[in-house]
Amino acid sequence: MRAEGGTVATFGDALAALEDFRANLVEAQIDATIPAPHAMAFRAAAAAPRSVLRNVHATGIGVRGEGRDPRSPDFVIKVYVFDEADVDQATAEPFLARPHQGVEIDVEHLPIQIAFAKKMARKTARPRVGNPAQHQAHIRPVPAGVEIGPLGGQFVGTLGCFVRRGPSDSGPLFVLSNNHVLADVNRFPLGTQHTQPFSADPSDVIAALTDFEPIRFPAPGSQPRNVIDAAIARVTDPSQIVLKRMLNIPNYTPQLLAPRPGMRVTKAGRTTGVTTGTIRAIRVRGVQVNYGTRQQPVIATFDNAITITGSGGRPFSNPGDSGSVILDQSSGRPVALLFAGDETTTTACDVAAACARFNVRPV
Amino acid sequence: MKPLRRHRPGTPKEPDPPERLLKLTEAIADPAIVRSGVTTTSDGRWALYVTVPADVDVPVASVERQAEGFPVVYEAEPKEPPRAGPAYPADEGRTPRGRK
Repeated sequence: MRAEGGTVATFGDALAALEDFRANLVEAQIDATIPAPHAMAFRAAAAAPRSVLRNVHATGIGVRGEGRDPRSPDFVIKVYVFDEADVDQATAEPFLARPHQGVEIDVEHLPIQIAFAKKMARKTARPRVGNPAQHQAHIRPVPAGVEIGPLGGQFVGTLGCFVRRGPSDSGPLFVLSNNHVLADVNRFPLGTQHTQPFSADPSDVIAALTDFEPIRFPAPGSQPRNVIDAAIARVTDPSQIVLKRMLNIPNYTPQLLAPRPGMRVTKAGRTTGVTTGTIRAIRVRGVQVNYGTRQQPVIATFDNAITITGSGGRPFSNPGDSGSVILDQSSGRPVALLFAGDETTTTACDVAAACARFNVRPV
Repeated sequence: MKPLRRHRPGTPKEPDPPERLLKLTEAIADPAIVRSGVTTTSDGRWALYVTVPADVDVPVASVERQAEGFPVVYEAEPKEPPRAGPAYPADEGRTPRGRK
């Protein structure tokens, strides 16, 4: 079998197709496991038909090399099933019988394998850097990348970084985070006190809300566009904080850098700790973000957003990481301000635009 | 062909995106487009980034015409918009410091 147009698929073609294939496979497996309602109605007493898709346990890229010139191997998507009988049945499964994005699919038998000793497997699953619990602990002096929340409140986010107003080292210091963390989506009055970490104890207060960029929502006759979800809170006691330090990110360098597609990035957040990812797109217009719940969405539209994918199929962020400052992994320089996400994609705004809005710079 | 779920951009060959491409992200118009932006192809060429509903067949002819020769990367729009929300420590079984 050949790639579309009769050409041989390269490793790059196969790699590009594999990720999308995996996403589609998961959906197809779900469809195969949960019959559609009308199918259930018509087959009330019958068992769901067995699909080979339910027995797929691994996918990857391989070479279909037999009888071919080894200098120009034909790369394919490999699909591995538990039972040998499933290999033959796979030809009748439309999802596996057709090439995916021009890359052919080979189905092979691979029984269950135990890849790692228990001890090794546990080691692999452990986060490489930054235990989330550390980012939720009471830390003095306070670095960037830790939990912050309103005094006596119900929710928390992340202290992105410290910023200073004015060119001199004596200007006032602020915490930079999101509007929806420090100002509760336009609701909190200026002066609202914030603690590190989640606390009802006034002695844990580290900053007070100073300014925020309002989030604008649609209204009759108005479809406003937003650019940043950002706010600052004045540090109440500079002796309680530490500058030029982000928890568990040793190369943090507080100098702004422009984000670029393909850039490897990292962040320190209160929920997932230190994670890494890749910028997928920049200057994205028309991003709809839900500030409500799944059941009662409240949508605001953003322009100039940045989208990020987590490394290794893991999420780059989760709720509570909002407000994290995202860094270029190699230089440790801030490139974006995290404010939203779903299971696969993190959405960030331009941290340089946020600093310009409040006339501050990272320190 | 259906749009990609998640595109993998390469390191840009040129440091900055062309000005013409930046203007294009604002001007591009097609009923199928939900978002537009800037990305790079897997080999590092600057490209127009658009998201379209997952069931739309791509490439979209009118988008390709408007792209002025820039490569176009199509991604499937997520089923639900991303959520901007904090975390609720009470849901994690935590009580705030200073309160028993």
